[in-house]
Amino acid sequence: MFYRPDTFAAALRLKADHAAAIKPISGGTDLVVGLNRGQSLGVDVLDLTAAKDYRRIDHADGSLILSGGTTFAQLEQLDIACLARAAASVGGPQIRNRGTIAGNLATASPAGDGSVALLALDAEVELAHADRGTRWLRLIDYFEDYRQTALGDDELISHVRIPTPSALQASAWYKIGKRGAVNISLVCAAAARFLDGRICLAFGSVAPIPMRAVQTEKLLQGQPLTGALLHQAAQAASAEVKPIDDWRASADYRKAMCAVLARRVLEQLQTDDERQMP
Amino acid sequence: MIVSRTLTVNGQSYPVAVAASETLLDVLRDKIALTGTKKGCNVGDCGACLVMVDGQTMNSCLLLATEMEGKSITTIEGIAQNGVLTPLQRAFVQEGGVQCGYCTPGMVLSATALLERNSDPSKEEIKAALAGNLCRCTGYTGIIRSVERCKNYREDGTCAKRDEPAGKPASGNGRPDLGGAAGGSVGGSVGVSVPRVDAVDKVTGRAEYTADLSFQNMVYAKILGSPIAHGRIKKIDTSKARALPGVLDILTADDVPDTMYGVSPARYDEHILAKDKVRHHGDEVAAVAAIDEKTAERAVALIEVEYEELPVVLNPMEAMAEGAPQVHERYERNINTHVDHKFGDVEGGFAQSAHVREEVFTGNTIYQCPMEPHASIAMWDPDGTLVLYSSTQVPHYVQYMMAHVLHMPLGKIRVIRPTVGGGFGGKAETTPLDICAALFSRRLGRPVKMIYSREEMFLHGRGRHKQHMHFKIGVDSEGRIQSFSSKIYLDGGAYSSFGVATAYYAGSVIPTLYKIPAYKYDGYRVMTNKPASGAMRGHGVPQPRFAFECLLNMIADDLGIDPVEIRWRNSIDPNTLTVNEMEVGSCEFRATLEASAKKSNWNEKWGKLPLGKGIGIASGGFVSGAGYCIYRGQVQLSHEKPREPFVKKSIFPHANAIVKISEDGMAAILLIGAAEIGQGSDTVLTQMCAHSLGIPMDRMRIRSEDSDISPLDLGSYSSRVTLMAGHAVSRAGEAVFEKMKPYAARLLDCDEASVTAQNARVFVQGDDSRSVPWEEVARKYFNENGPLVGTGCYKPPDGLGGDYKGSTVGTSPAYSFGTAICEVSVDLETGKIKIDHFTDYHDCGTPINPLAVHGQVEGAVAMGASETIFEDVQFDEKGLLQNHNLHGYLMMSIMDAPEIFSGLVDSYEPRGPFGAKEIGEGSTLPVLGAVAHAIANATGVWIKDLPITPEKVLKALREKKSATAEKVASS
Repeated sequence: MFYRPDTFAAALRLKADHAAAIKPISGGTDLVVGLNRGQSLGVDVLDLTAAKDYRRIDHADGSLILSGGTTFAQLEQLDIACLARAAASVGGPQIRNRGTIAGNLATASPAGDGSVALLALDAEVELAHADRGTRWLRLIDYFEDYRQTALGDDELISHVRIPTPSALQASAWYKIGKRGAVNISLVCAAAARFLDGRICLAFGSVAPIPMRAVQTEKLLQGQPLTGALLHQAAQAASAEVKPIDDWRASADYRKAMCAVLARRVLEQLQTDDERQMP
Repeated sequence: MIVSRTLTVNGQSYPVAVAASETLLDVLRDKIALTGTKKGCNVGDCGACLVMVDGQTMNSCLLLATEMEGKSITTIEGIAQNGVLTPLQRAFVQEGGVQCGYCTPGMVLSATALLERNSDPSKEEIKAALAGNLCRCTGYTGIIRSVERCKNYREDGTCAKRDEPAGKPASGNGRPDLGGAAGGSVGGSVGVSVPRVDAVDKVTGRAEYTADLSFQNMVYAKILGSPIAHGRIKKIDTSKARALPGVLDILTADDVPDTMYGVSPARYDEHILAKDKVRHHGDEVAAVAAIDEKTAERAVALIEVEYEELPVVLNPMEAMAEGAPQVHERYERNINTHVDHKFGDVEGGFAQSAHVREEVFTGNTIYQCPMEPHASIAMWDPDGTLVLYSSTQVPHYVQYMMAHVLHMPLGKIRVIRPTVGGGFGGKAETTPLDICAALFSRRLGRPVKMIYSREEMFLHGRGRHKQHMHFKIGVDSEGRIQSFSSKIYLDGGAYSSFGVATAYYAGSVIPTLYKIPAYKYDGYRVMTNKPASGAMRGHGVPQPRFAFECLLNMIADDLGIDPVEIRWRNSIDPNTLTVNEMEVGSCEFRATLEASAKKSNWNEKWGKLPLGKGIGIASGGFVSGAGYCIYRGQVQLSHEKPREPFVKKSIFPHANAIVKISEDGMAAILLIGAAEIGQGSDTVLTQMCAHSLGIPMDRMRIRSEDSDISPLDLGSYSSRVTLMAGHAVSRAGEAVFEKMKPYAARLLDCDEASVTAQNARVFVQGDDSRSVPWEEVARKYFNENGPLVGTGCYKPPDGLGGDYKGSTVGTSPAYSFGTAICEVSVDLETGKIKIDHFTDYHDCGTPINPLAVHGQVEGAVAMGASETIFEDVQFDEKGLLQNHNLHGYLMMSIMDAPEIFSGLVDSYEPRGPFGAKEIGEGSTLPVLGAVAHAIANATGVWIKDLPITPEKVLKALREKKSATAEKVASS
């Protein structure tokens, strides 16, 4: 069966009723690839693209609430540096017109650029069930293991909540890919500094899940970002990540790059701070 | 489950029945017959299938057709209205934005979407908008030029901004001359930048590639590839596949002719389908024909093959070791070809050298990645003629090899080459698709279509040989080469393919650039359990050329000589017989050195750039067509040919043309089997023929696609077409005009010798007031004699090459020369490399079409730069491919492509038509070395192992740092 509900509520109903027997398709940039490679769907399809209320961006209480169906092309337009830049580094324009934030989070690739930026923003994800209602999870608690998340078989990702630019002091993004476009991250890093002084730092492609560098963050809290601290943080980040060797890059290179990227995104935060000074 | 949907495509409603898993791409192509939307990868990596959905660009291979109801879909067919091209489409035609055309629909749509929201995009915005569309031909340069030309187009189609260039022929790609067919440096239609004859078809989606064709009652077939790299086939069980509804026929080795085939006649070592053994991941084992492609794919997956796995061998040095696994029984120690060449006093040369340096370089495994996947469609006429549509760059060799495997005369095989979406050597052999489609079609009595997926293309292989190169050069105190020796191990993969020639090429073309008095080359092409290596752009030479140029630059450094100067001192003179007996004729190598150094401001930059910025130089050149045919003897079924001793002459003409004039004299039809694969041969051949006939190009049509219509040409390889086919077509044109002369002389009342023609007027030489229309003369001829037809042919000169074994490889009527200067930026912390700029000057003789020449250079620079820093087919320890797709195997995107200045130096090759020689492959040769040199200049470390990845750069920098620290500590 191919279900194509025109509201998100209807989609939730279907998902609750069919659970694992129905597979949501939002942008299709992962699922259709599998189909074209001859993998059988094996299950029914729940097409979310007709649900017009699944593409909204709303402001509420100092936060931005993004519907799960928000595309990377929409994210690119946001005034939040790390998310907009991360979104702009995904695929080519035609992938960004299609791929969605819910798809990125549900696929939960360790190299998911959108996931890494959202982690650094300390975003929350809303998982919804037709009967049980919704639950908010911090993204840091959402990713569980390699391509495993807290999302239940009978749930859909309804929203993602991120701080608005007014709650954020600065954010930064840096990606090392092998080429300039349509490019899987070898390592990517995102950092954000909030009004309360808190700094979050996240990395992609260096662990089974998109990861927050929690240990490194501890070093940074409440400290001025001096050259010495940046150096220390870079070393800490490099020690904290758990990359693997694969044909794309060695673990050693990825570790070394985490140090470089940590320093670069943190420096970027600082530059942005200075720019904002009167 | 099938559902009915109504799709709105280009404003028209199409009710269609679609399956839940069917993509919009397949529905557009198969059910609505809009084949302008191309399938390049089917997984969203390449952008060839791009369409607009409600004004937004999307890859149609990732869209399910079921979800498209109610949306407005625009394909390339919906861009031009009522046959009128948009300004953007016109710009693609005129600015060289089109070559093979396979990426063009997606490019045009992406750019259209951009211009609709931003009428004045910056170059960066253009690049960002096209970042998801891959192109392998143009280096993106012509595409960017096309979009830039369209900025601020007014409604009436005129451009508000652009300054139209003056009529002078171009000296560089910055200002292509876009004048009409008449006028130009040579006069007539030669030497002018006319647009491609197939460009309009390609920007509108009208051009039909093999996979776009359908025939009544046609069925589909797919091939099962081996999941392991080396093993014995114990058992094949096809029963489950046979039981699948819709399956029509299955082939295994038992069902196909037991004939070995390949490329080099001395080494036919491929079975049509694997017999007893598989030798690489993807080795073709069995094939299934079914009512549609999806069923064939499913059935292939149901074939059960039991293998006894064998140990694999994955590099040539290990493969040559005693006791290594044998890939084929017939090649002892897996050595497929051994070359042992020595010319001059090599040891003496080194002994008298003031400086000798020896280094080891390693190449990479490169795949051609034409945007169009290989496809074949076979059918049989009732009279027993095989009709084979094939996306090939060598229709004649396909015909020859099909005759060989089917054991039938060449004359009973009709090969049709539809539009081809790039080749670069990857389509220079007969494929299992050609053969299996023909066999299935004979068994089923129906047309059979077969297409490789992108993954299967990589698994079938035939890419560039990875070479392991030990090079040694000795020079005198002023840097003049005294002696050179090389030892090369070529990773051949599992079959011979072109490899015998590759092994010889790796040595033979090196001495055509510099004066090398003594030369030793020891080459081993060795079998490994990888897809077969074959011929790729620059056949065998780019990696050794890279090694040689790097080593020469190192020596220049050692001696404190400027890298431009060391090349100047060693550059070969025109009319030189090299130490290995290659006949170099015209040679403007020094002019390319001088011009590229000047244009790039070399003297202001060399040695003066900050750390992280680098400039580098390398040179290169190539043959203008191979001196000899791939097979020996005449055109005849191989089984019936007597074995004859080799003679140093062409047995038959390598290029042949017929010109047929329409009965009213208003059109000339040029027939020649030269393979247009995107490089532009149809255009330059039309230009040359029009020129020799004395008519403008718009009176010409070319038919090059059908062996029933067009006479033999050996095809598009070894950069042979402009020189060889060019002679054939201009001679055919001259033959026509010779026949017209008596009639013209009568009409003009003059003697035959003084009759000449240009721009469709026949006139008395020196007095153009006495003239008659060209067609009038042609009609007079027809009235009295019937058809006005001329023929022309070309044979390479007799006696090319020396008298030693392998002397034929590298022979050519003429050689090209070129110099490239590359500028890079390197991030010293991440190792990331940005190739900023290229300055390239080439000696291609006198260009027939400067726009086409620059297009070749631009494409070669991007491709060469891409293989230097990005590309490498990766294998795991069991020999399984790791990145056989376009997101794992990375070719340059538009975001990575450098700015390219392409320039040409004045040159005239007496052995070429109108003074022309090659451009297509020679332009690749300087690129790799120039990039490597620029990176070394930027970082202070040489990377001698391709590709030059950020990781290798960083490692080398770290090693240098610790070595320096040790040095400081110890002093």
